[in-house]
Amino acid sequence: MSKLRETLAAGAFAVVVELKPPKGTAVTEMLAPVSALKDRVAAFAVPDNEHARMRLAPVAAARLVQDAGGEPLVHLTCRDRNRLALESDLLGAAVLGLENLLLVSGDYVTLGDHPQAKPVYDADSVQLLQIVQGLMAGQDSAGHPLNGNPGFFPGAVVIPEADPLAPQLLKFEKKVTAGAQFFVTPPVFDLEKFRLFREQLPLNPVKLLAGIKVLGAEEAALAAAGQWRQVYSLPPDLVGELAGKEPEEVLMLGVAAAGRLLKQIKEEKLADGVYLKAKGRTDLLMKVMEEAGL
Amino acid sequence: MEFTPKILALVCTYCTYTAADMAGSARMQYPAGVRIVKYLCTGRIDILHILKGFEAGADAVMVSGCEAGSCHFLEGNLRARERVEYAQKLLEEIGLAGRLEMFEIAASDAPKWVAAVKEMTQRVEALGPSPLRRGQHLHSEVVEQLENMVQS
Amino acid sequence: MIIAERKPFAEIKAMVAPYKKILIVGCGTCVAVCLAGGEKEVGLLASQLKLALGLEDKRLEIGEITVERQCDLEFLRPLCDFTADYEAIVSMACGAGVQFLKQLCYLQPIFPGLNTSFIGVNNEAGFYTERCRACNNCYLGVTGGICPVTMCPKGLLNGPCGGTIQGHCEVDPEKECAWSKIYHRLELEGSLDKIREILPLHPHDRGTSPGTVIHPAFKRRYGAHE
Repeated sequence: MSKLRETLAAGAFAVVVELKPPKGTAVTEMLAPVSALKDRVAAFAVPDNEHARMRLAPVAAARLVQDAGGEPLVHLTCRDRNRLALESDLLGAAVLGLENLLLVSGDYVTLGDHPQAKPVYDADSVQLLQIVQGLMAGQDSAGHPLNGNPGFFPGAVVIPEADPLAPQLLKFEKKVTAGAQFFVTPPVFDLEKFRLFREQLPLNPVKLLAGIKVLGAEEAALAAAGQWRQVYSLPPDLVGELAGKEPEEVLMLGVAAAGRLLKQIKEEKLADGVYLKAKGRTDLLMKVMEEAGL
Repeated sequence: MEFTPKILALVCTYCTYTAADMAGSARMQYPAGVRIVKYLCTGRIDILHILKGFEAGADAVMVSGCEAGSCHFLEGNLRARERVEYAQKLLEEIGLAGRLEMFEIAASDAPKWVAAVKEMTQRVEALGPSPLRRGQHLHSEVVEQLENMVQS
Repeated sequence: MIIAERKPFAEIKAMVAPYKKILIVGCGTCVAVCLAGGEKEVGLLASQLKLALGLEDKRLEIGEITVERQCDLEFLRPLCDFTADYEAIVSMACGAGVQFLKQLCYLQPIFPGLNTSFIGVNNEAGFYTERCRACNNCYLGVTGGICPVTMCPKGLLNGPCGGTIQGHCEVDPEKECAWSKIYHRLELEGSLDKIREILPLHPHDRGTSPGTVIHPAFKRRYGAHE
């Protein structure tokens, strides 16, 4: 049984921490947070070529996380693999004991560091969730029976600040139908907007993890220059606070903001847990959790 | 090395040709190396005509029509301008930039015609003769081809 | 129709460099409409080549001819004897036409004068946009007349993805999110139910290349094609 699934099922506040797989084979830095935080977090998330930038494969990285004593949450995108490879990797994850999955479409190829690569998208995130459902029930996407069925705890993403919102909500429902059991949001900075979004979500037993992010100097600069182009917005006061400061100070202010948000989300039970992004740095992660009283 | 610039001028009947004619009648002095091809309207000018001009060995090509808003055929000169700009791009692509220009000269403006010819002549003297030129004259077969294209 | 663009001049010039006598063959259908390879463009290319080579003191004899289209044998057959006089051919047709011309006139090397871009529409002279990817399993009836395979860069059948920013696509801020548009259209039509169903995985075997379509009447008359 996955620790993440158990934590959420028990109604306890689940903290998931995101790691940063390397572009290469040097994994020490990626794994540092695991030994430090393994008893305090429900899972360590391993992204899959995040932002279409080539990185160490998530299933392999997840295995190393397990060896270091942590429980992984494996991302799988639709961008880089066809249905055969997706099913094959899923079986691979299963035999390594990896249960937690986050199934996403994946940022488009031209946004990353291999812009001339061929985008695959043989399945979309909804179809991938269905593929996972199918594998668990004992068959692959072409209807052939499996010799040994995997078990998974599948999750997906939902975007609170989607504009327009209605198509996103329609897709949310499709993901639930397709078997998503928990959802992760992009970083949340405006709790009022988040509350309004929660009211829009149809009632169902899926769990929600709110994204929490520590902003860095580059992001602060982009926002200050009016060039912020993301699916989540930054409050103007925060942008103002971070503007023009030295990189280390930006991080410290970012940590403080993240800690405040995390604490409030936990206290007001606005989510069933959080998905914490702090550049994979153990020091920042620990400070955020401290600020939030975790 | 001395050379006489050979300039091909593609002009419209209603404005520029009239101005050029007047300049002639008034015995205004200007460089003699201009060969005029008379169109009813600069809107009839095809980009290919301009390129043929350079194939014939012209050192420069001038396109000259009515002032914007005064075209006898309403929009011909506007189309000519767009085509001249595209032709300039094609010429740049092959390494023959700077030898094509468009002018707007009203029927009564003989001095402006003279000034335009002088300007193009000076430009050619600075750039040198067209590398495609062979001898002093424009290649007659190509000019004839051009004139046929204009008539058809 | 098929939209194409003329290859960069330098590339074409390099292709014909070894030859002294070439034929440029234009196509009067799709590529003439999108101003890339029609009779006019053949003339301009021939002139540009003569000028450019003239600058290097080289001569190139260039024949020019344009046929109705190069993807139909009835228009290509008359060319066969004609092409024999030339050392090489530059075809200004789309990729299909270039190959068909070569198949028929196989003695000379053939070079494409264009890059074939996509199946698209003519919004205005000079402005063409892609609309169809020939996936051979058309979804337009389900998605309110907006193709999810073409208009969504990711080709999602159950969109949108999480990258819609103010109704626009994460890939290109100028482009509206196709799935936002699909949603809006179906909402106006009152048929949102069409996309509440999960669309299944796309059958890519319907689009294996090279594809073949045989009209039932042809099959009945001639049996299986050779």
